[in-house]
Amino acid sequence: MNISRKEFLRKIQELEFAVIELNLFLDTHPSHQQALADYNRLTQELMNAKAMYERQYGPLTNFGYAPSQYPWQWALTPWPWEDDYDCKEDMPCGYMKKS
Amino acid sequence: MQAIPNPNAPMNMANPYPNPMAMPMYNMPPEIQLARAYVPDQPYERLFPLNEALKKGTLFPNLYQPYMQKRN
Amino acid sequence: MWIYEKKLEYPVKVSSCNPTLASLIIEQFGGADGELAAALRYLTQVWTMPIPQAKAILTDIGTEELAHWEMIGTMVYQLVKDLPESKIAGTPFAAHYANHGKSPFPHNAAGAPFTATYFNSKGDPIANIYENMAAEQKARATYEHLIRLSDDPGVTDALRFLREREIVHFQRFGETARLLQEYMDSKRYY
Repeated sequence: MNISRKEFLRKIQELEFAVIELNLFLDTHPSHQQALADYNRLTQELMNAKAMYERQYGPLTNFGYAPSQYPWQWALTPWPWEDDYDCKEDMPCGYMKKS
Repeated sequence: MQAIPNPNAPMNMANPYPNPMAMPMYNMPPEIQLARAYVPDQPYERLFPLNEALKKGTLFPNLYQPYMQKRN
Repeated sequence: MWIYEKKLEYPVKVSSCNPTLASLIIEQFGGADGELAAALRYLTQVWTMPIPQAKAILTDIGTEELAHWEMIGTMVYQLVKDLPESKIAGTPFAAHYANHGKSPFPHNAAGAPFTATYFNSKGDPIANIYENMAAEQKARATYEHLIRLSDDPGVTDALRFLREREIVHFQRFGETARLLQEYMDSKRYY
């Protein structure tokens, strides 16, 4: 896969967001077959994408949801509030910029 | 003034709800009671492409009600 | 049991340092209609919900609200993290800084600390679900106030996402209200 870590994470965020939406819809419509089929299809895609991401960049989820390479990756990979997603390079947090 | 669409008008399948706010009455309970609040049931229709859904904050075009900022 | 996922629900992109805006959006980190109050409100109400759909929607929306709380905290932090202290003095963020430094802390934009009096769990399913519908509307209104106050395109973008989530949650609670009413009628509860 030739995309950057951030692009890959963005794909996972898109997939997971769709799954969240379908999950909430199904909570109040548990017998909706089309929504359930869409949920299952996207869940499979999300699981595959996460497994691939985690092999390359370390675990997204703790407590036994993904194995870790040496050394313990969970503590060492970036935390969400340290991740600048895709803005920081071209938009540095320069106080002077806004005055 | 925007005309309020007739909820009983025949459905155009390409665009079943020209005004997504206007739901046909069959999305409401058949019998409604006083002193209760009702929200129409959401019909399961078209979904946004996933990248668009994340940007918009919903997967469902019929629930998308963006904020239009008043200029003053 | 909860599992943490090491990513934000929605990527936030703060455009520049902005202590004034940090001091405003903190309303949704620790204010009456903020994300922490929402999460605790829904997650506290699950025990006394009589139908499975209501238990599910409260658990799931309550969990999503925690992810929104994380987004707001991240924006507050990113708006001030690279700021020299000399640039904080004289801004509305200075009062926050005096106590908490650059750490986000759950209080509202006026500085009042978070309190459990911001929400309730009545042990009554209908009273609870109507409170939740009102809470979603109040949060939507707060986001609109913040969007009007924001001069940072990245923050505004995330606020618009969060505002739309309030609309989706309102719809789900509305559907839950109807399921609860049908259930209560079938039990001749009231």
